[in-house]
Amino acid sequence: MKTQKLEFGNSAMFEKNKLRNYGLGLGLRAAIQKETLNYIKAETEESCIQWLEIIAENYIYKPQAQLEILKEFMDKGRPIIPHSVNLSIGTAYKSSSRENYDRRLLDGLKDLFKLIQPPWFSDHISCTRINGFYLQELIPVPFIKESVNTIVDNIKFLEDEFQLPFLIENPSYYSTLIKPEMSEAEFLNEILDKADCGLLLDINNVYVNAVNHNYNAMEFLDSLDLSRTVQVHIAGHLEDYQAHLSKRHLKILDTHGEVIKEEVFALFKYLLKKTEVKAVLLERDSNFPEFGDIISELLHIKELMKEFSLTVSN
Amino acid sequence: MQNSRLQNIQNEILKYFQGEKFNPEFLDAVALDELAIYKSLTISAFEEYLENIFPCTYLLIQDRTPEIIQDYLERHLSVSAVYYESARAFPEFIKSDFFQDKYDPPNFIYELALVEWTEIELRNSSQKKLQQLKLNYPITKIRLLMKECPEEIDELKTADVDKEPEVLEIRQGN
Repeated sequence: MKTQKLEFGNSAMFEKNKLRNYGLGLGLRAAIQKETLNYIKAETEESCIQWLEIIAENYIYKPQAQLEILKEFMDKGRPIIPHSVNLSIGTAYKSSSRENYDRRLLDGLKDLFKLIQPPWFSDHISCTRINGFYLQELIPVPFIKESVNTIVDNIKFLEDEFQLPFLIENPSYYSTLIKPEMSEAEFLNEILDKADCGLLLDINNVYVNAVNHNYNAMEFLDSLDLSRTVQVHIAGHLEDYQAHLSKRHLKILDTHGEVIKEEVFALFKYLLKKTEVKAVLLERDSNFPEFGDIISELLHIKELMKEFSLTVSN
Repeated sequence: MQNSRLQNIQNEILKYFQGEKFNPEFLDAVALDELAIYKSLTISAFEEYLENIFPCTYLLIQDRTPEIIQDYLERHLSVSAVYYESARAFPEFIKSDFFQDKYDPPNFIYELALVEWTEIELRNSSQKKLQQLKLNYPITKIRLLMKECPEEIDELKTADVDKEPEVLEIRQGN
């Protein structure tokens, strides 16, 4: 079957040096949508919100009126970059990905992408859909060879379908499900290499996983192929979660609902020393503070980025 | 064709989410406890969602929500990638004999949930249709009003059809 090519997608080929620098962005969430827009309308050129990330599945099959706000941001010179939660690149299908993917989801995303013209799209290494049912959580994928091959096939299908570069995000995980055949870093590196795709490195997830699974976060970054890092997520997490996760001595829950911890900032700086990135995003998904506090956090991130000369270049 | 190892693992995970017995040989023993974390995260995320989409219905069932949501999700996992659509079957679930027998809710709860869901459907299908209804109290507004008057919740729980106008009056009083 011949793939229907999209108008907006120029190429699925991953060429990091051809991507422009987007600078610092904020996750656009319903709870802070109006304040974000008002802030951008009022601010001077010293912006700390240079682009916005949306959860793509929240903006498909919506009436046109609800997409107007995206146009308003774009009119203010703020690109919208989609991030998915339900592309489920870790799902193993009985036959080819093409036949088994959720066509309604893909068509909805195509309509959205036509509107926002994104430079790339992304999703987590996880399995959110099994036998057609969505589990609404990022279920981990075991670190085994079969998972690598499955994920690579799915990414290649998606890139071909959308004609856009795809980034994989390292998820936080509370289970490996079975005895791993390889380390987490080996797993990620093999996917990056075989799929020839980019990396969305969630620095908070690195920290959360390092604490929960008892490894050194910096050594983990050292062992990862960071040259493929395009985008960075930075966020807060919930500590003292022992009561709920005690059976496995897990300590931290990845909530995106707290302020960013110093240890995460330290990892962020460590990453920026090691590689160039094209876009940084503050993720805040719950437990929203005053909008001014979000801006303060953004300004702090911006200062760190300036230390590494990471600004916007058009 | 035989399932691969990864397919077997994922099929067992699905069974766990659907509340079915599954074959433990495909997963580590400890994975079962860990999957419970994911299931509880799904339930708490859905609870927040339920409160937004069915604000009035939610107030009537909030004492037992984790159990109700688990029952719902085990029976009605969504086939849609769009999150709000995962609540589509909730009114039907409330109407089901299973729910009615187990939770013994107020008589009007199904219709209440159906009205709340209908407004959400309208909002997401066509803003114009919703505007034509000229609702002074859309679901989003009612949710805020009801949060401001928690003392009325108990009264609402025991309300029968005859008392309904009183409830409406309370909402409009804000």
